[in-house]
Amino acid sequence: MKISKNLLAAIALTLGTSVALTSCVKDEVITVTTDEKGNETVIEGEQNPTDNCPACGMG
Amino acid sequence: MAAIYSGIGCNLDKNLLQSIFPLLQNEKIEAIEWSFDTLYKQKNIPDWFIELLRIFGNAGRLVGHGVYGSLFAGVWSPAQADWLQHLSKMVKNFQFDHISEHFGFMTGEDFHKGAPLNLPMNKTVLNLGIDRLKRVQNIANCPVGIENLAVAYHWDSVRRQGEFLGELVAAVDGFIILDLHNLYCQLHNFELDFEQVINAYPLERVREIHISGGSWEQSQVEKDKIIRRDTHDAGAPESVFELLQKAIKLCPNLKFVMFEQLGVGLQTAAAQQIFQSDFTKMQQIVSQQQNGKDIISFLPNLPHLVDNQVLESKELAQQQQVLSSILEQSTDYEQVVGALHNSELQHSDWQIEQWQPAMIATAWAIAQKWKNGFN
Repeated sequence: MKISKNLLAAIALTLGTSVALTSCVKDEVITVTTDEKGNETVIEGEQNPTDNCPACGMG
Repeated sequence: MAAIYSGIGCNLDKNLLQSIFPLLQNEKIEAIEWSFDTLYKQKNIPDWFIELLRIFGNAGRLVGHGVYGSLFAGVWSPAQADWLQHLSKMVKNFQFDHISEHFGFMTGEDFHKGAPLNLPMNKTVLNLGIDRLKRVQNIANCPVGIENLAVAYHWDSVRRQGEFLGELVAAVDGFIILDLHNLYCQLHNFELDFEQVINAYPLERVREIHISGGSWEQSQVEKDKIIRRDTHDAGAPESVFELLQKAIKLCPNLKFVMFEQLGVGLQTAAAQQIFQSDFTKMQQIVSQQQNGKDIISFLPNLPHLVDNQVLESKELAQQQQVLSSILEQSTDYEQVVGALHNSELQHSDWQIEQWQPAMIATAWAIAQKWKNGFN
């Protein structure tokens, strides 16, 4: 099944790996934070796609 | 036309998710099986995991697989009532195509510290299982099923399991998960042929197949015997893929084939590559054998009528407690055997007189392994 680049990026960040984002996305801001106990991951993201992209489905 | 989806047992485990990630990137994963009751230590699920589950759920490609329900425990504990309550929350948040649990009961006092063990296949266990499955289905409002268990104490319990699971799920028009590695363990440990065992299963009720790996263990009590255990910590052996090729043709209502492995066996890049290659091999077999026919829904008219009180058996509960206690507290095999033959399990439906020495030792090893939970 197709998974959005945004979701893949969020998973990759949590896993500590990197994932290449396609050029149709710019100014991507995704942060991973944990609470004071260190056991809760929160993804905060903002996507600013340049144009609708039929290749990745974003935008 | 119904498709058979190749999926992954996907849980919040870093090693497992690292192994799965390239497959997700390449759009290879067609379905996800999530053990919805394994996050008891975590307060919140990460947003991206929720989104992943919802994407697959909304496409009808998410199935829920319980681990800790212990549906065949003689008594219905508050922890099990909580488990059902948790399930009701999960089904409100996620769209499951079906919900399943395992045959057997969990040893141990603590709900999350125990091992799955086999049961006598008698009327008491049958009625109790049917009652609990009805309650699960009333909450889940989707097809429900039970997975075959690897652990068996003697040949007759292997022979009987398929038929018994059939009787059990028929009462809720439910399905069977046929775990082929579990079957592989039984074929090896009891020196049986695939056809001898598979023909005892009502194969029209198989909606999901599991593929996984395990480990070999030299028996300490039967020196010429090597035991196959369903430890889920290694790649799937070639024989299990061969079983898949045979089994898939025999299951006309098959919808999902899931690859399962625990993160503990996926700590190296090499192990993660084997995982990906095993999944690809499984997917190739599945794609070559799509049945192309409509499949049955496994969804009866709901709700089921059930009593206010969950069906219990004090006698079964007592026997389960005795067995758990013997397996968890004995310090060696001889002590296990001595205690069993001086217990109320003697000359009962548990048929301990027929239990094979190597399998008693295996049950003891499993109980010892899990009595402290995952810590």
